[in-house]
Amino acid sequence: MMRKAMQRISDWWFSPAPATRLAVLRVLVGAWVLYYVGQRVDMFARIGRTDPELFSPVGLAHLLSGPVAPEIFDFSVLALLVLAVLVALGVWHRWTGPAFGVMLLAVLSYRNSWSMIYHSDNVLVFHALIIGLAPSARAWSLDAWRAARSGMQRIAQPLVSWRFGWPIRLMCVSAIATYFIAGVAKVAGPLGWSWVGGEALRSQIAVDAVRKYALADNPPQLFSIIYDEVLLFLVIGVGSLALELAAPLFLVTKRAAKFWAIHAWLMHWGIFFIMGIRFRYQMWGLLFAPFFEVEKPIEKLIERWRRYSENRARPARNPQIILFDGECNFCNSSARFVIARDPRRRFRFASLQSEVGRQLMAKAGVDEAPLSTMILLKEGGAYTKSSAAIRVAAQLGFLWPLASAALLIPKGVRDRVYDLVAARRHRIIRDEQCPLPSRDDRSRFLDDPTAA
Amino acid sequence: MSQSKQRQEATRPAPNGWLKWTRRKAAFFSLAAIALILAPLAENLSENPKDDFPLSYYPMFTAKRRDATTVRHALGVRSNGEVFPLKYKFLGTGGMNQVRRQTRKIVREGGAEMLCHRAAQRVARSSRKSVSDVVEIRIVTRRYSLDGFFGGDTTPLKETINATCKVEPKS
Repeated sequence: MMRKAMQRISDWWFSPAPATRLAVLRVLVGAWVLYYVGQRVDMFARIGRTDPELFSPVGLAHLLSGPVAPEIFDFSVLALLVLAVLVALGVWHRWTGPAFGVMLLAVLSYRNSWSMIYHSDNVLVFHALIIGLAPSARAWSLDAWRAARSGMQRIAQPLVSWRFGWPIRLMCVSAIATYFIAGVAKVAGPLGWSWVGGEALRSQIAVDAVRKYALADNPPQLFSIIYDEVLLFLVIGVGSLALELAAPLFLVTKRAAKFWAIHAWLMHWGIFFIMGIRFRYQMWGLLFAPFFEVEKPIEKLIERWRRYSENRARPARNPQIILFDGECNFCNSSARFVIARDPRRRFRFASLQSEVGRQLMAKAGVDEAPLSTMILLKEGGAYTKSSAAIRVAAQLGFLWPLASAALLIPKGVRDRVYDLVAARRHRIIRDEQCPLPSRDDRSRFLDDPTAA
Repeated sequence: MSQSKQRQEATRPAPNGWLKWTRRKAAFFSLAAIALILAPLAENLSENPKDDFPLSYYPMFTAKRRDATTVRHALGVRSNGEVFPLKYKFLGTGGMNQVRRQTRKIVREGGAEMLCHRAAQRVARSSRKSVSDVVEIRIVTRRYSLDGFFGGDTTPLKETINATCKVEPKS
């Protein structure tokens, strides 16, 4: 019986997980430390210069005989930020990972050694240590990319192994354990089970709100409104204590663990609205990320991008034709610019002056236009001036599709700007020498006599 | 990639350098980590429990509160005589609760005068409009009734002025 139970626990603990899940958690923890500590560099510098009389060591700071020189703490914070970047990118993880975990523990221990312990940092430290010691750079990291390049590992093949499962479960258990300990402290403390009565919780929050008022730190408005609703505090007290004391039971199934994570996350938002206390790592959901298949949305995005890239590489079925002033260097270099960003060969080109160009305009029912007018002929219509230019840009690569937002500007205004540029097109690029297009590119110019 | 090849790949030791995790090592490490995290539970049995970081027993919200609370903080006095609670940032470094605890410790140890002068210097140096007309700082110990406070009366039940000092006008 005992052996069976142990086997079941072992099977659960070592059940496989994808390397990409641990990789996402690595990026999240590294990026969070970068944001969280990076934003507080000035405050950390001031804390390092606090009156030494107030030094009350906790954690790794117990190893110190007294405060260190402020410059040493400044340097440690800087080193932590560098390590956070390296961990997020997955660079030399076998060394940077453990160093990152230990450095975060050291910096936050020192930061918490000045009369106040910020408990919201506890789980962050556990997560950083686990991520740092686990093989969390096996996927989506520069280490994995380098290994793939040298043929040691296939980067495109997501690995699934117990090696990536147990660190994630340890992250979940470390989070759940802290809530359980907090629950036990409430009923083991001087209040005992009367804590759930509502009044105790209300007076705890009330004391915090008075302190905020006295120290001019924006007391929460919502609490003042609900202060007289003792029954509401009873419900909140019972709910939060159940979430804490029963936390380990929710590890029984994946679904129950997710249920717990969502409700614990909501509890932190409740604390924020009622008390104005921000548990940032918790509220942003990062503490609860190990409970979910966090790699799946990213894998879906990658798959979408892959399909999009494949589609882009396929030649377009109905090419569109751009008619432009063939005797203007600016227009020619614009055509080359479009060709370079049009791997799907959506666009063909013809000059407005050519016979082909005139025939195409007649076929599309477009009146003869001045040479300064760019025309885009596509299935379902013809566009001129700024409408044509924006529609062409919207189909190019990278960020160019954002140009389509310019269609919101009234056509009259857009065309005025277009006319201003078009009137100066001969002056913008005077150099008459253009590089010869390749044979492939020449085939896209419908009026090129050498085109196939 | 074939399934057998994929399985082979998955069982290959992870290249984590000196940390070559085996199941035995991982199990031992996990048990040790969980035991360490749960160890602060023992503080609940202690007569003088001690909190630590990151291994905490989470004592916040466990204390028995009365219907009134005492806070040591600073007040600013404007040139027109208005008295208002001074922002904690003028008293110390860190978050509100950190500064509150530092203030409590300093005042208890008889350092209210020093704290007052330091706050006055910070106010004098500050470019904040909200403190531009502050002429005096007071370090006070105030006792507030919770019911009274949330009934709309923020007047303290009791007030002790621990220190008073002038803010040097900007030259």
